[in-house]
Amino acid sequence: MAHSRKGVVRSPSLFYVFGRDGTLIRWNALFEQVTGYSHDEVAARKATDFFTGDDLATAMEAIEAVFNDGESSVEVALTRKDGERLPYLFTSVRERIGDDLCCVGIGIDVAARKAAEEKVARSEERLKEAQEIAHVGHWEYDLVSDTLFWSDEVYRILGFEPGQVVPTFEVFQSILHPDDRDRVLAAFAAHVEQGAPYDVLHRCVRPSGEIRYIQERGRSVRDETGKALSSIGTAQDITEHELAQQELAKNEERYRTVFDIAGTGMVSFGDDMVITMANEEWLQLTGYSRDETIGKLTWVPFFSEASLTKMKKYHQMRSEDPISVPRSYEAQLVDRQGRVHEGMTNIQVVPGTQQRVASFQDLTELKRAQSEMYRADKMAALGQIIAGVAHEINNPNNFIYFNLPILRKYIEAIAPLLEQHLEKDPGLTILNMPFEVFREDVFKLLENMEHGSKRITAIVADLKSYVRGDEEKSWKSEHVEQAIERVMTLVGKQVRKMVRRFDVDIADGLPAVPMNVGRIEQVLVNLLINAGQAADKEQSWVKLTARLAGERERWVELRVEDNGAGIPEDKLEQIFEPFFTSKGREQGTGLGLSISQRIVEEHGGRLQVESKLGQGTCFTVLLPPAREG
Amino acid sequence: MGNPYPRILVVDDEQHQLDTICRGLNLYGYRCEGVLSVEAALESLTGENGERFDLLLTDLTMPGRSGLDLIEQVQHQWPGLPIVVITGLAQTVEVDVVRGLGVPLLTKPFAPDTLDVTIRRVLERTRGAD
Repeated sequence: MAHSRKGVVRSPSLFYVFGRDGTLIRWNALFEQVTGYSHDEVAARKATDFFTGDDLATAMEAIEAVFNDGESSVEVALTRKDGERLPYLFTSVRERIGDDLCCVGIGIDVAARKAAEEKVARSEERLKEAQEIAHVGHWEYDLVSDTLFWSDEVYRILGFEPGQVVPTFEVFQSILHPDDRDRVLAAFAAHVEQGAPYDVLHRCVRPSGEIRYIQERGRSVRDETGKALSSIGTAQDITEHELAQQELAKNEERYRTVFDIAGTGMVSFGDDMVITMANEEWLQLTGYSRDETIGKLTWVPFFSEASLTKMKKYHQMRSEDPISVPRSYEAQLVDRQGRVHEGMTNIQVVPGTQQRVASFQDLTELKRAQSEMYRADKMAALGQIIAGVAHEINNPNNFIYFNLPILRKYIEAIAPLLEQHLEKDPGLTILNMPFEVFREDVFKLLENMEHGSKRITAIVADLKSYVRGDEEKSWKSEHVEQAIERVMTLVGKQVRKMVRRFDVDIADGLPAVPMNVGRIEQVLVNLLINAGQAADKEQSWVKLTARLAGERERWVELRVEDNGAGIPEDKLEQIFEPFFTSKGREQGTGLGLSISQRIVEEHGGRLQVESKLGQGTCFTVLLPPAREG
Repeated sequence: MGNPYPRILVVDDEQHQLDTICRGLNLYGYRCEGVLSVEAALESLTGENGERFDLLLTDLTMPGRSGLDLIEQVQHQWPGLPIVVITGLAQTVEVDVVRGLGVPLLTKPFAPDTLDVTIRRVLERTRGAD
């Protein structure tokens, strides 16, 4: 029996007819091509011979069903001659051909569909996997039927097992964090009603109470009138990222806080040294505003030459041996006004960048306080020594001072006896001196010794004055007029005797000055006597003035001017040194100006001098007035 | 003057100082007894002739009991006996205390004239108060 090839040859399907015993009666050419058997080989086989394994049982079941029930459809793989198995969908019917009942059917190749199905399944699997990994789920909300679909990952993100609850908009609302709920619902409403993009970051509270951060994005599907039919979107769990962000923000804030409140001037700059960041402290320290600084000024010109040299040297040394140089070292910063600040600097490279963070801690005040303390300690110690020395000198000096007048009395008492003797012996000589010369010399010697003893007394008294500490009870706010008045009663007459003209000029309404009046009087007396002693001209004068002076009138100024001899320029520096004196030893101890300077400094003031040789000298005492209020 | 030769008890731990002061005072017409310690001074004051002194002249800084002790005891026990203090110290707590007690104080060095004037003033004031 030959099969008719006409009409079936081109069929994309297998065609077959076989009898109750399975013998193939008719088939198409594709059948031979697909199975790999020749016409004769096919003719010699039964239908079941084209199946193997599990497929054979399935095929036999289907064949039975065709003959018993009249039709059957089965997806089963046929086995080719070469053993390859090909999936086919066989659809067969029972047909009487002649007297015999036959099975007539077609087989459709389902390999491509199967592959496509597998691909879909695989891609769905991959999508699920991807969603799990990325913590991204997708959802679809049918607005018409009010039904919501969640992907498995959406369930997981929200804290459910997939399928654990029926997803509804109400469920979604209920898991929104109370603080975010209104905002999310408003965004979703705007998205549905106005077509605004749905893009919100919100928290949700899982049934376990755990809070997660969810980033949602969605778009709507609309009909031709613009009415929203559905909304589809994604939900991504970004909790870890968000917490990391928050931590970072916190760290940044902390860093910023440290930067701002470090009590230290801090700047950041790159290779070009241009300042990119500066804290308040730095701006206050340097006197430049933020706008003047950032991106405009460089780090370099703020530092003294010596400091920069040190920085460069340390930088070099550090690159060779990081621990060879201290992290912080002393440097001098020069501010806008040209004031030098002594402090500690520390320059660090931010790891992995060319940025440097540099700090400068201003220690000027501290250093001044330290040196002030050191000076006070030194003066206190010196004061004790001098008090002791004064006692030890005063006691023996008393032998001289007290006894000299007595010795003078003794000599005066014996003098008449010698006079009597002289009458008898007019040529009397003592130690080869005529008696008159001798007698005169004895009294000269006494005078000499008295001078010496007095000078010892004066030096000891001045030394004590030099180291005398502040007697707190003597401090009070007083007006300089009162001090000047008392000074005038003390030395006014004396100065008027020394110079032709002595003027006093006190400005009205001077503020009070916290002072130890006795000590300030001591300064003025000293300066006035000095001025008087400098007089060397016919028209000599001394002038004492009191007024407000300085920037914002921050000082009460007392000036003592004269037109006397003046001080050579090279001596100006030395005049405040203890025991320096230009006068004869008989006129002073050389401690007056150093004592005066100490007193003025004790008052937080300054003692300055200007002088031109041959033209005169001007001493200026600057005292800080009492703070108002 | 009630007594032409006022009697002075002088206290100083240094022999030379004591001699110097006494010699000076004798020249100025005073009669002196010099002792080297506070203990010796108290002995002289409480002896048979305890009432014979017109004035006590004492140093402040001495080994053993100090001049300040002596002043306090004398002011308590012999309130009529005037005191003058001599010292080599200028600004000390002791000096402030002495001034606070109203006792005249002479700081070394001083001339015999000054000592004489001081003593005479104190004696006159004491007599005036009698």
